[in-house]
Amino acid sequence: MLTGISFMCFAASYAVSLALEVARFFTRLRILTVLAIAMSAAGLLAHTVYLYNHVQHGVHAGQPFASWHHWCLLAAWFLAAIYVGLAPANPKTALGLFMLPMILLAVTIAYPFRDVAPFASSERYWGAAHGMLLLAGSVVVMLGFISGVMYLVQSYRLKHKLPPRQGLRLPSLEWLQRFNSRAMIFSTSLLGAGLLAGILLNLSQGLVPWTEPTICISGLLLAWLVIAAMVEIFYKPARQGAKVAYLTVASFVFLVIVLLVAMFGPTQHAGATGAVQAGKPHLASHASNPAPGIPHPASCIRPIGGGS
Amino acid sequence: MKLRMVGCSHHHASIEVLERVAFTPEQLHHALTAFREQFPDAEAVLLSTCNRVELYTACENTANTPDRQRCIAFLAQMHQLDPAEFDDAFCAREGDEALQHLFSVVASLDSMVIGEAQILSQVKQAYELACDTELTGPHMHAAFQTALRVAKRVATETTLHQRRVSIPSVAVADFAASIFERFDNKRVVLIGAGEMGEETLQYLIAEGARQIVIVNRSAERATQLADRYSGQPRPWNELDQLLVDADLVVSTTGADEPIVTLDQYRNIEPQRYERPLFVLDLAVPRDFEPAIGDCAGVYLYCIADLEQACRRNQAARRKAWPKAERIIDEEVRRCKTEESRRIAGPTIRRLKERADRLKEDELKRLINKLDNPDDRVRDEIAQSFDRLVNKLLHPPLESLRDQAERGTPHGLLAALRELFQLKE
Repeated sequence: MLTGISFMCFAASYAVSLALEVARFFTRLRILTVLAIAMSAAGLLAHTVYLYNHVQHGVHAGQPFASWHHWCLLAAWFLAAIYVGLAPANPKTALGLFMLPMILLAVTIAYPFRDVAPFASSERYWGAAHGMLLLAGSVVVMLGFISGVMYLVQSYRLKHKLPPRQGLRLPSLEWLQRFNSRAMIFSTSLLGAGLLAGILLNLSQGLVPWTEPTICISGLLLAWLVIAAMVEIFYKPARQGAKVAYLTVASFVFLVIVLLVAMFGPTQHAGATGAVQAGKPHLASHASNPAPGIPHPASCIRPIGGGS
Repeated sequence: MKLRMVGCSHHHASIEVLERVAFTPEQLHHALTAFREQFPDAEAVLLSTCNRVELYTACENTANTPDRQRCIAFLAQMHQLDPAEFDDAFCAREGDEALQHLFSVVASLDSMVIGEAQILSQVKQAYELACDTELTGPHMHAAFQTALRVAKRVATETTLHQRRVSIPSVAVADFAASIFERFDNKRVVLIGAGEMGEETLQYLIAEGARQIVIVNRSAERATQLADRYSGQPRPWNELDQLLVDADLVVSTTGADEPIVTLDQYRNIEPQRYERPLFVLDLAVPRDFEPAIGDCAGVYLYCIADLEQACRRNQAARRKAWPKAERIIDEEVRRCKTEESRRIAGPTIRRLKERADRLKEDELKRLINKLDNPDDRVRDEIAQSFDRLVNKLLHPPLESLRDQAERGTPHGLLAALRELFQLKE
């Protein structure tokens, strides 16, 4: 289907959409908002077709969505879908200004991994659950981060008594705080469930590599999220104001560290060790294959029933 | 346009004069009925707000339209006042100027606070009341319906109304609404029962605030205010506890020194668990020590902060002024053209009728002479006559239309009537 659609089609659409959002700082033309949403919607369509083509290709090869390239693109797709869903109902809110950079970041990270060989197959059901839950948890952490930054910007404006700036209208602090709290709890639950699914997946294959760096650091991320969520639930002052925003921003920083370790670190779990050197991905299939018994989250995101 | 406006506004009249000549809704109804009796041929709309009293009149025959003196005398008579007392305060506009003035008024360009929204509904009410009293006719309908369209255009095509300029409205819309998503579950504490506090309360109620507590040193005044806004009066000594529970505080006391100091706030701060607190300190001197604004979760705004925001908004509104004026000029021109066309309409109609009559007579005579020509020849001749008449009439009618774009072509119309002997 529409095989001519390339990576650049949707990346450029999102970039143009962001440029239009920035232009709203300087002019009040309503058409800019409409164009920004339309460009993002066009990008999302191209993005969907691109992923669909890759799924088709992966199904034939027995490994759909089995690389960091797809993992990052799926995360970007979810964020873009949320943006395109929310923006028409909130045309005056500067959602794109905060969401589109995150979408572009995920898309940019995906780019160097486009030619990296997929990971080895692993157990179907726990694998799919492991991959999907970690992806969903990461997307919620990203959303929490976006709303956390929005909260801090809005709070700064209000503390400094600045009038609402054209093109930078944000939701109320109350709404952002509520969203941050929920993002914190949902991301903890999803990432916790994802890690548990990974452990069960390894147990089903007979071995859990507890000392593997990505597992260790993922465990630390989960511990951080659990503590942050507990503090948020049981410590009353942390429920209010900027503290929740700081917690969600810190969670995102933690997530970035985990992803960096998983993608580039000296870890067999990643399956992509050395895949990107001096900015150039190489097709080291040996590097893309994890050690026996160690599944990779991305390798697990494939339709149940797909070839394995 | 045969419109005439006689009135006074905040531009030239003092507040005392405006107060004396203003009409209550009941007086308005009575005045319009009296106007109809005194000037049965005239159409009228009487606009009375706290900043202006304006009487708009029009008549098919301009001579029957009451002039400035008669309008002033009528308005003075309605209040049993001597017209000579107010003569200087009143001004008069006629024709296009009156129309332009009406458009400026309804678009809020002539208001004391430029861009304020109430004037539109006040003009609408005045027009509706005149319609109910059967004082409106084609002139008033055309003028006021266009005026309402102008107001809509200015509101949608410019930013004149987009920024608030009064301190309470800026406080609520630009700041409080950025902190709270909804107001119905927020506890509002009003300290002092001043006028600005009451005005802010009205904005908060309009946003949905329901839980209102009023604290005042005079319990009687607090109770009065609480009754008016379905609030709860509380004694002054409960202030600290009320601040613990509050989400929004509006303070407008006349105290000489802060009624809430930093130390006092520090004592209650742990009980608030850093819950956001929006404090609107509208008192001069301030009621809240400024350092309280640095505490976590506190958003403290004093009158100077809000005045700055108001000034910025006023400047932004002024930027929209030229565009609003362009819209008004455009609409005045359009009204003028429509009016000119309306005036030229009967002459054009008569000219065409006369030409058609001549054409039909000549056609009939020719057909009779040709001894039963077939249908094709008959049609050819008829079409040829039509073309001839159209070609003859086209240049004068085109000139008439061109002139109408620039104003009523009275000279051309008179010439046409004279040259073609067109009878009324």
